[in-house]
Amino acid sequence: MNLLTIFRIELKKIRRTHIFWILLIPLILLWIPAVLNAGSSFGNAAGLSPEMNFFFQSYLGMSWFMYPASLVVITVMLNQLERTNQGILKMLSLPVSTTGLCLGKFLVLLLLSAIQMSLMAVLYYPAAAIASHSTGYDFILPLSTVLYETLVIYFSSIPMAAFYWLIAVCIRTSVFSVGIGLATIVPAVLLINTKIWFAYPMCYPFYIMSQLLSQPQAEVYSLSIDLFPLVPVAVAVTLVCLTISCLCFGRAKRR
Amino acid sequence: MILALEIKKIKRTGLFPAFLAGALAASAFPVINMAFRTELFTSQDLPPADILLNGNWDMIATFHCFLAVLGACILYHTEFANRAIEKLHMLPVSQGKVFFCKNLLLLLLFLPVFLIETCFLLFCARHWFPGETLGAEILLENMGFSLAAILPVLVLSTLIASLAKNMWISLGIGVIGMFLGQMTVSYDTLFSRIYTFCLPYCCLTSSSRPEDIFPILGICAAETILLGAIKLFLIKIRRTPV
Amino acid sequence: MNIIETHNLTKRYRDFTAVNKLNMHVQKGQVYGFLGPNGAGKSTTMKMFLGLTRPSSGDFQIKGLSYPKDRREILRQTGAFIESPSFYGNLTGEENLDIIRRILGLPKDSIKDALELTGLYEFRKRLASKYSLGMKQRLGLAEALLGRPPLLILDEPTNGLDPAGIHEIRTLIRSLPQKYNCTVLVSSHLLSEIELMADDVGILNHGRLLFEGTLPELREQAAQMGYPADNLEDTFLTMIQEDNLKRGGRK
Repeated sequence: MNLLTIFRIELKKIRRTHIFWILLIPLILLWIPAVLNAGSSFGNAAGLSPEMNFFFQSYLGMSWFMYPASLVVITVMLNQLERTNQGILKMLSLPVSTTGLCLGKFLVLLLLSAIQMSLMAVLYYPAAAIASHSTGYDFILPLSTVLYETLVIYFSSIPMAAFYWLIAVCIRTSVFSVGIGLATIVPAVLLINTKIWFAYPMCYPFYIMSQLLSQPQAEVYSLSIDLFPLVPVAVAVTLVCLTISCLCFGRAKRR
Repeated sequence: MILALEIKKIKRTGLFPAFLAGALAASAFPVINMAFRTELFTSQDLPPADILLNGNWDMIATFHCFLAVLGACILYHTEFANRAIEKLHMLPVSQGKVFFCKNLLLLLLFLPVFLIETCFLLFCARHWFPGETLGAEILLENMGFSLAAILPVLVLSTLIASLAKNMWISLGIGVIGMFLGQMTVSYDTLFSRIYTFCLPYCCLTSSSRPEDIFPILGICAAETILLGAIKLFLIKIRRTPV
Repeated sequence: MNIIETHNLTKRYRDFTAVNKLNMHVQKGQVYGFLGPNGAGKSTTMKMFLGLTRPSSGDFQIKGLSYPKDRREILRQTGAFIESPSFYGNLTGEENLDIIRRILGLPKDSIKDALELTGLYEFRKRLASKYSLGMKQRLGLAEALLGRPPLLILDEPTNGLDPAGIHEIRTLIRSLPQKYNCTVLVSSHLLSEIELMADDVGILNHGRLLFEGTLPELREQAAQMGYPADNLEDTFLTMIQEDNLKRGGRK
């Protein structure tokens, strides 16, 4: 049984869960105030062009709060689906490896977050178009910029997703897994100002976004971040989190 | 009696430790902030309590909203998980009463949270602003004020949690609601003044005037009553019990 | 030929022994009735067979395969229904079966087969969360029967069914060994039920096997020991009571 088959099975399990709407609604709520307040994008001290300001305001909000919180909600959903009617018990009594199941679910988490990020980028265009129409200023950024920023957030969030998956798998009391998940989002705002931000996966998207914001606009594609401590640490965090979660997966049911 | 039962129900759900941990995390925030950015805060020419509240209250309020949403989700999740709520509907007990007792319970849980935070703020004031007046009475007044401001948030999150059987849906809606509050709180619009999840971000400092404070308290009271009434109305009209 | 054999199989939780030195033998092509009061250790034993819980000591063989080495292969050969039906409430009955079908790598028509066997075919498009108790039970059974595995492990499969349903499922279980040459291990706390479907019986109390053999053998032994032999239910109850008394006496 390869991972792809398990992934397809896991995808089938999330049918009719309304998760799509939970992912979509915050994005709409994110862009509506941005459009309504489009005028405020002009007054900006950092020397950012209005269109970049408009874009970054929402993307920053997304990367610091909404996106991690969505990940927490998805992990809750993935686990509750198995536990509500003991589906996990059936899965464990079938000839399929628990590691495979665990990774399959993690892939679903990655897919759902990818859907959310792409919706974010897709919704940017109507939002920018409406804002341009109402203010008479062209807010629309080239597709390449939008794509680039979206991909940067998405890929930098994978260690964070692995971390949340670990928490959701290992901490079976849902109050704690959700509580820890949500509580770990908040300190990111402090830690991105310190030197050890790369040790805290919840900082990655937010930190990179704020770096992109502060660097000159012309060099939007050249990210001035030292890759050295970041990449090895991020890879290590991801691997460690995934390994532990695979080891823990379904253990409570197999004492 | 129902309150006593509700307290019994939260046994081993981890709700109490979660609130304790939340309180400590929220309290740690001003301490860390002061320790790392001492200069920025001590140089301000304001009473210590005001500086501390201005600098940290946003974060603390975010924690409060988290706790409110989480607490409400858990309280109803224990009901839905093994269909305990269906049994509850078969017993001669008013659903409205259960709902309000759950809210009261959450409010009671918030009391120690606020106390712990106030203690930590006082510690910060003593430690980093020696020789200045502590402003304990302001912090205590702020505590009372925040209890009032959290009330509509509690009722709203409990209302949401009681409507959705699946925890991820109530949690999702709660998080979205919170996020909307967090995002719009800095705007100067009518919406950000009356939106439920924006209210906990208000705090009471020595510079607040009664004419600023009383409208907020009025909004809190009105929203609490309104949301409670919505719940009672829903109990009445929904065919499946909520 | 024995399809399941256990050797001093034991499961201990901290201060409680759920299964105590169990030696049971399930013969191929038979319906084996696993009998015992609630909490006797029936489910724990079945869970050990499926690798859902680890034996504290002793071991077992299923079709000559041993745990934990051949766990995957054992699971592939076994259809199981443990405790309460497990399913995904947001999926229909058919979709629930489809998930299991894909994991087992079975052809598409096996779903229809399992649905028809359990009488769920007309409800296949309904959400599992909207099923009645009896339908959920049938869904659990269909999940176990999917692909017609050579060994079926069924834990109190008739719980929650109405009399007609109980009769139907009993007849189904009774007919399975002839129909497609499988072996069934079925547990119950009602001897009257086991009497109607099983060839062999194992009686478990407080984790120990009190009796193993065919139904006529059970009657014979009961007569020898002076238990009421005309009614097997009474025999069973007396047996359990005596055992409980002995255990109490030892303490």
